[in-house]
Amino acid sequence: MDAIINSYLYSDQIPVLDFLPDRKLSKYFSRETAAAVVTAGQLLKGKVYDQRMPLYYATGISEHEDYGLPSVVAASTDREGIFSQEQFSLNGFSDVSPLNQFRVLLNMPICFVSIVYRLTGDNAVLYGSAAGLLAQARCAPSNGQLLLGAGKTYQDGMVETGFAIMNRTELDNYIKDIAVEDEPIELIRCWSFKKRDP
Amino acid sequence: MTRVGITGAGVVSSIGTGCEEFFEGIESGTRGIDRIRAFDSVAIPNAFGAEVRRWGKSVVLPRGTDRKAIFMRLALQELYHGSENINQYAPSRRRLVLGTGIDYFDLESYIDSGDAIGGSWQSHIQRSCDAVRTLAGEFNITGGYTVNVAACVASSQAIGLSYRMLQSQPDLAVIAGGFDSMINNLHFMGFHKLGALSQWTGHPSEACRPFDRKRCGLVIGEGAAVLLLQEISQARTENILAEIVGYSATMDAYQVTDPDPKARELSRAANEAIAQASISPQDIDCVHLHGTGTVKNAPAEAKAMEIVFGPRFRDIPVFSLKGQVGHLIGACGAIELLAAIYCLQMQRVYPTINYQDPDPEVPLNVVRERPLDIPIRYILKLNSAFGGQNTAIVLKAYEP
Repeated sequence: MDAIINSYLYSDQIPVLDFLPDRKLSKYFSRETAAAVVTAGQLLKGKVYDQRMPLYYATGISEHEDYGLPSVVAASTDREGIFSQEQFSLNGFSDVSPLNQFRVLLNMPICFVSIVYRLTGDNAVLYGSAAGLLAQARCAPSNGQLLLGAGKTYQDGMVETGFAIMNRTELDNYIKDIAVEDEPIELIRCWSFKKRDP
Repeated sequence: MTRVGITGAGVVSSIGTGCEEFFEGIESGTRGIDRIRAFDSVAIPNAFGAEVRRWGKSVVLPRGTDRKAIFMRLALQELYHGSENINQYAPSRRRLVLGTGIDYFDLESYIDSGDAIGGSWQSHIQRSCDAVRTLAGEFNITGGYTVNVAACVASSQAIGLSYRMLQSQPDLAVIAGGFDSMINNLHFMGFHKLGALSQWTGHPSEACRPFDRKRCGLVIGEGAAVLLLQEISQARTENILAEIVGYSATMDAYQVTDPDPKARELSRAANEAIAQASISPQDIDCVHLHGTGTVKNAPAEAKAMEIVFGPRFRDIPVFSLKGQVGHLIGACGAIELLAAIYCLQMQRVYPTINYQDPDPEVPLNVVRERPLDIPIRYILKLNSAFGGQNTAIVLKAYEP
């Protein structure tokens, strides 16, 4: 088993360009997606793995948005500070970048990790709690290695992503002391501690 | 392999609320797509949507209401009301596994409350994972819940996971499905900006045209569908609607914006699900495709069909529900699987609504105009997500 977790402050530059075969891909990335691509890349570097290994990713409750909400609000508010459907339709609409949708959709981190590292296997995107990620992993259709990931964006804009690679036996061994109502990133944090102090 | 039966259902859609009305909608070719009424869309171009209807009218809810959570509650109520099977399981042996889409954000209340001035948006978001936890509590499901957010394959992945759970824990009752609504200002705008929405200039009901030569984009739908999955020996025989006998999920790892035109991973998902069912492609009687009505989806699905079925791919009947109910995104796999169950029960492939002008680039046997009555034992259901995720489910007519 191996596990890595990375944290990036809002002011940090996430070094994702170092991991991209095509730098243009980065224009689609939210900070969580960029951090996921970096963290998965660090974990997989130098490892031999089956490109069809199952990949499951769980995203946490997002406490920070960087999708351009302030510009939508500004464009959709009338002179009295009230929402205006007319303003929204005329201005709020046009001010939003088409790329925003790639930052909003919750399956984007796993999709970009799969594109960058050519992972084509069984997959799922879970939301909110570690329990879902564990439930999915325990039902994986393969007895080989699994790649499990999680992400979380905090109120101050810090983003954290973690990935772990393990086989089914290791998953069963490491599953016992996890509080399943925790955010999924806590699962990876726990595993990254275990890697250091098994 | 544990045999997994589907023994109950609940549904809320633009062509009917409740299974009876939904099935009648499929039978009669009801068109659920119209101009959006749930919010003021007058100034928005091509604001077509498949809004949930009750008693023939679009459901308009008070501002700030998370529509999709209400739809799922109604679907669960129908499932519980109509299914005796669920009550034979203690709450701790019930699980809720749902797929859904993006969290609902109430832009109007955010601005009108003044919270936007300070950027305090958190209290104006209604999270899908919170909705599922609340619903699990309301419906006395204490065995756990899982929320899948894999966009357009979220609910088919949820059903696939449920199928797998029952392989290892056959004493569970798993309520699986999906719920979604993107028919609100912000989400609709997102899809519009992506350029994914139908550019149809004619009547709204014709705007989603799966496989048709004039297809020009998807139409957002909304609703919810849930299925009760049980190990078959624990189910009352007369309640078994169908069996799930195969499931697979793959990723294209191709491009985030387009499906792989060579359909390598979509076809692999289909082949793996068919193999898991211990059958061959020759045993599949019809295919319910994802069929979004977008330009690039149709040839990719046709290519997958060719890889899986060989020369037979031009003959095997195919169907898409989206011409009627639009694209339910996080709920599309579940509602379309329910439609497949109905086809299995009726031994009939229904016409794909708005398929009028065949596209030589998509040489599929899309049923049109009138239903096709054929013996159906196995149906293959395919779905794909924006970003490259694919799912395949094989459904079988129940045989004791």
